[in-house]
Amino acid sequence: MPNGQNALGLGTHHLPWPDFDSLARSEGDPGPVRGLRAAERSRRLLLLRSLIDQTTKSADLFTPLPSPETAWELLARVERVAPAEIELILAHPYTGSWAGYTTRLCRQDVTGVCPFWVHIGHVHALAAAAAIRAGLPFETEVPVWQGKVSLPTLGMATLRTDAPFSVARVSCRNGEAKVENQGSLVRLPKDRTTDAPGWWGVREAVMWSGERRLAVRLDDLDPYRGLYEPLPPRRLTSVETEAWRTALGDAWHLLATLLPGLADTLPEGLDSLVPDPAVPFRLPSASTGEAFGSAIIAYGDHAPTLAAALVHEFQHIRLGGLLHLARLYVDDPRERFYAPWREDPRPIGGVLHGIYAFFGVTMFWRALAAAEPDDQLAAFEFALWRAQTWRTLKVMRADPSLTTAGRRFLDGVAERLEPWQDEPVAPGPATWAVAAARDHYAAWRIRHLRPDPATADTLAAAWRAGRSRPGAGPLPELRDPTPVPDGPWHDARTDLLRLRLGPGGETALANRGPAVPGVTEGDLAWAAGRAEDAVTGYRRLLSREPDDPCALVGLGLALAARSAGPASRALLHRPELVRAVHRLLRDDTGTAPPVESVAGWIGRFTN
Amino acid sequence: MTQQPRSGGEAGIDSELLDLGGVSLARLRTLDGSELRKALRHAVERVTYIPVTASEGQGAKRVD
Repeated sequence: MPNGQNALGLGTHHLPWPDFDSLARSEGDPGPVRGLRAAERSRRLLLLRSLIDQTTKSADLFTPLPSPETAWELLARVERVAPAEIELILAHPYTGSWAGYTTRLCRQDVTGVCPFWVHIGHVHALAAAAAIRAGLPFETEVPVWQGKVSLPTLGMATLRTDAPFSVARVSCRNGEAKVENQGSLVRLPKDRTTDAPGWWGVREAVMWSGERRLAVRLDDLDPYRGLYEPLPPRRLTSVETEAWRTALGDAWHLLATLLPGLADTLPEGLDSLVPDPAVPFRLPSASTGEAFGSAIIAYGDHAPTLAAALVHEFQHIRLGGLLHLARLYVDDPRERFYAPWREDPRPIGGVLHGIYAFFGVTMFWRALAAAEPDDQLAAFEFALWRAQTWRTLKVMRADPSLTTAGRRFLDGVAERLEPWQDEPVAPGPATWAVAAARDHYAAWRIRHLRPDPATADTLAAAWRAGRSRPGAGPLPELRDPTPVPDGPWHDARTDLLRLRLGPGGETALANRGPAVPGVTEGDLAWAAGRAEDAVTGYRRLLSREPDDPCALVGLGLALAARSAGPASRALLHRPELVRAVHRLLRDDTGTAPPVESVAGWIGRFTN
Repeated sequence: MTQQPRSGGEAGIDSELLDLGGVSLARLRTLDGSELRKALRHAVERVTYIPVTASEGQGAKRVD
């Protein structure tokens, strides 16, 4: 779909509004995602051409390897006989990461994790991998990093060498490929996904649910699979690989059953997973706009949570692709927004990504909650994320940094998200979702909003004078957060709620809750519904650590669970002000009234 | 990047990204001229603005 042609006889990528709107609403057929992939292909080719142009005439940039021009020639040879293999190499997510990373090195004239010749020399590894795939006879040289030779999409050879960076020869004759240096030789097996002496193959996971198929490479080898910089391999054991296949199979089945339309589209935008180790009580995941088709995901065996993570990352991948074509906001790095999925303030680009990702997450939990009405965790996640995403979207829609296209994009999200706000959710999970949202926002405020010093001084003076009210007008609402947090935060209470509402229920909460990082006795009591014990636990903590954000907000939640009053209102809505005033009162005498008393006083004139 | 309907075409977003679908590597290597240089410059400049997104626990600095 080239736009009107230029002097080269070529057009530019064009995205029709129906496709744009379909992407925004996260519905429709896979066509728009294919369009994004085609654009990404063009982007990578341009970066590749630019890198070759910039480096091929300066031997000091690529020596001791051959000129990058020879890699281009080999790629072109492969294209003539086996174009599908070139397409596969170009579509490989980490070809994009490599091109972006190396381009930045070039622009900034810096070396990177390895000497520059190793990074630019990766183009020889891409060409060699394409030629091996095509069965083309060839010989070339590639970089070796810590004895490892990466052949993207195929695997990694290990050679004997003491040098941190060196050169190896890769060749293919009569369909037999080998990698060698002066001290060792590795022959690639016929089935290159298997391991052989000196060879790790890139493994695959192929999942079926009825007619729906998802095939991904489990890439624990490619040096450009990370977020920022090249990484050494982190090889999964065979047992871990099988565990991943099982977990992905279960997650895929759930996804295909609950969201068949999305499952028809997702394989177009996800073909490689970087497996990360499990993280207790969490399932972190990541992606980058340079690696279209890839997600980094920690291991998890809870199928719904893994399925939600797949949807989450697919949304990031789609939006990352779209942003190569459409400017949705004016570039603005200021971290000025509250994002309910993050501890810290975020810039507009990050928040937009988060809205789209959690829109997808909400969609998934909504479908599961509808299919499994007794699933309390699904109901909780649906209630939590529909509200958190909607709240953030409403703020963002009014921001002047959005472009017209950006506003249209959020309108598309809103079109689906808004009606979900009124759908019924079981009262228990719904109540916990409200509490979790309050918890997160209050914790963010106390750590990232700095109260006006004059207001805090006025309040402290009024307290000292024994006045029932400070006499000032309404308290000013704070607008600009600071990225430097004032105090630590663990979000342990939400982890506890997930234990309580998840498959193990209250038994899991009792047995595993004490192992949640950062958890306190007050948190355990609160999540178990023992509000009075929680109040006691947080009071005890605050007598020792009166500035502790987790305890201050926890006390607000526990008091609110017991009965709403001014202290809980202040601790949940103006915790930063309560703490600031309490600090001033402590500074006066070294002793101070309980922070709860100060909160109760401030709460009387806090909305 | 414009958002106007093209003359005779479907309305939508006209990106600045050169469409290289159907251009062979051999031909791409020989393409030249101001249009190509503009396309290369655009692609290279945008690598500064690629967002990384990660949930917490990834050690990422720009995360969501």
